[in-house]
Amino acid sequence: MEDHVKNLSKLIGHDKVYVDPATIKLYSKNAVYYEGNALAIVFPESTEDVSKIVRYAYENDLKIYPQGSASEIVGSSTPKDDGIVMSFVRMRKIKDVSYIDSYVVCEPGVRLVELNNYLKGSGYMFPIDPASIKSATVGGAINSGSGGMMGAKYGTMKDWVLGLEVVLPNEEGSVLRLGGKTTKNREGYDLIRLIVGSEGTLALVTEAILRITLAPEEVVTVAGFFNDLEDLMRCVINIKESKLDILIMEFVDDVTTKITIDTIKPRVSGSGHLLITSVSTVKEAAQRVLDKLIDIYNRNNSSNIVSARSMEEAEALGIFDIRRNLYPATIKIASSSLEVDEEKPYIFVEDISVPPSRLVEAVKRLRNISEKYGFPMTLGGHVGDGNLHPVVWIREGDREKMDQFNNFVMDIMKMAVELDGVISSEHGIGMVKKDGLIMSYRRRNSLYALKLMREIKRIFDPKSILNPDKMLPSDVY
Amino acid sequence: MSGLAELRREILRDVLKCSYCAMCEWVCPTLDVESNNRLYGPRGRVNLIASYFREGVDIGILKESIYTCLVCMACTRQCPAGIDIAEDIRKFRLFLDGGNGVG
Ligand SMILES: Cc1cc2nc3c(=O)[nH]c(=O)nc-3n(C[C@H](O)[C@H](O)[C@H](O)COP(=O)(O)OP(=O)(O)OC[C@H]3O[C@@H](n4cnc5c(N)ncnc54)[C@H](O)[C@@H]3O)c2cc1C
Ligand code: SF4
Ligand code: SF4
Repeated sequence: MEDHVKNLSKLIGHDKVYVDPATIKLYSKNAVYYEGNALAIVFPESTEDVSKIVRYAYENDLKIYPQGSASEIVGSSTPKDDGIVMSFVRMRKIKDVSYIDSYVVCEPGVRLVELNNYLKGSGYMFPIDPASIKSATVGGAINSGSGGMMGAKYGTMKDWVLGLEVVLPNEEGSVLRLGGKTTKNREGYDLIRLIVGSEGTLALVTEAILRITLAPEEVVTVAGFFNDLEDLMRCVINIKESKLDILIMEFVDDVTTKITIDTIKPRVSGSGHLLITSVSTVKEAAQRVLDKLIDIYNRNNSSNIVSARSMEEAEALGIFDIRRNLYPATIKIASSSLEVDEEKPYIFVEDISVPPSRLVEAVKRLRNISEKYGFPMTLGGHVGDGNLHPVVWIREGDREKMDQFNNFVMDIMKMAVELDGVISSEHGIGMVKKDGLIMSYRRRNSLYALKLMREIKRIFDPKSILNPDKMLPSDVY
Repeated sequence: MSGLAELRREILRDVLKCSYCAMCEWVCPTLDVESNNRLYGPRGRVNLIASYFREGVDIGILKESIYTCLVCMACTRQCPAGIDIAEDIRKFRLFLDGGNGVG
């Protein structure tokens, strides 16, 4: 171990290798409760550094655990004591931008918030806006296949990566440049899309060419409450039928709405299930579009409707308060539910999707599952694409609940698959959903797909030194 | 409860709410200056304080982390868990000082 540290320090420089226990501990956790261990933390500053580390690791059978901000919530970034964490936080340059060709070139450690601050004033934006936008890095978001509130219009990370520079975990630490600066690209198999969402198991991303887009000229927003979930869903369907350019379509269930209102006192208030819809438009059409939207809400028995003609007005009115504060409110409730003073609450955010037309059924079944296990649950989601985020919390000392938790998650995943949905939409598989992956493919009689994935992993990473044991189950097929 | 024990309880209660989301780090001026190591940002400081109370940490490194904080409060506004990060760091310095002026 000492030899590894000495050798790595010699290779890339002493100031890029850390071995003190405090640093190791801080780089061995993620944003739920996974806690690993590592031999050292390395901070490469260039592609060359990354390649050198890989060559050394390959030769010496040392595992590499890539990491951005470690804000993932499935255990995809946490290390084990058989290897080193490779943190990309020092690779944070935005290297090039072209508004004519609509791309930006940046290093993997750039945070998404920094990217958008850089673009501010140009009229352009990078539209993937996870709730963790202030922490999520480009490398982490690419490898998680992240999405956000504007997913209804802009999809997820996979739709916005034009090119990648990657270092492969092989003997040479080979550097590959995939894709480029054009939107269209049909140069063979789409290796970029293979790497997006691969959770750091295939290659180390050292540079990304990302597509950027013009920010909408105007955005109108309506929020309203519904006593009946069926009314809310009909409202969603009517909005979709009306051919409006939906930007955001967010849902918070009635129980959670009440909890959030009681906990954080938002500026918008009401009772029932909450639906927030933002539509992209132009200034001249804003009022007409807004009227149309309000009319649809009214026709579907919505109450306490609040509307805004622009994003600025929406922010001033606090239209997004309840949705945005779902996580803070949950932390608050979880913390106040602790029985012992020095305990920690763990917050678990689930991430299934079902076809939007089956959301009502999904919500009802989720509530049954939560009741069955006695887990209090908050529930919100991106209703535009059917992505639901049930959230539960458990005291760290509650072993019984922690044990039940896996069954609880499995029941949720089974339900999603039964409704033709998926077990993970944007957070990934990591360590927590490998069983779910097997269940999902088994139900479709397609376990061979997992074998294919294993083979792909083997071709990229012959010695399995890159983020081993993540995402892919090792034994089933 | 003595002043020091009460101070410990107050700080620990607050820092244990940390969910490790990292949303506080992007505004921290000392993180960039000090090598970008998490040790020198709010998330690191909050969690080192928790570790100090619960399982112990190297006191030299802890002090380096805690005393390089500018107590500028930029991080506090970012925290979704509502942790009073800068105030906890300030109080923790007081605690390390033996609680002079407390109780
Ligand atoms: C409060 C909260 C809200 C969230 N909201 C959302 C949301 O709305 N939508 C969403 O999609 N996600 C969300 N997430 C999950 C998470 O924040 C995102 O997945 C984020 O993109 C992860 O970025 P990161 O920099 O923290 O990556 P990390 O957590 O550090 O890593 C994520 C994965 O990427 C790999 N990786 C990182 N950098 C590289 C690299 N350069 N090369 C190869 N592999 C790499 C890691 O090994 C790991 O597998 C949320 C998390 C929290 C805590
Ligand atoms: S108060 Fe300290 S930890 Fe918080 S942003 Fe300022 S320097 Fe960083
Ligand atoms: S923002 Fe708050 S909860 Fe998140 S890492 Fe920082 S201190 Fe912890």
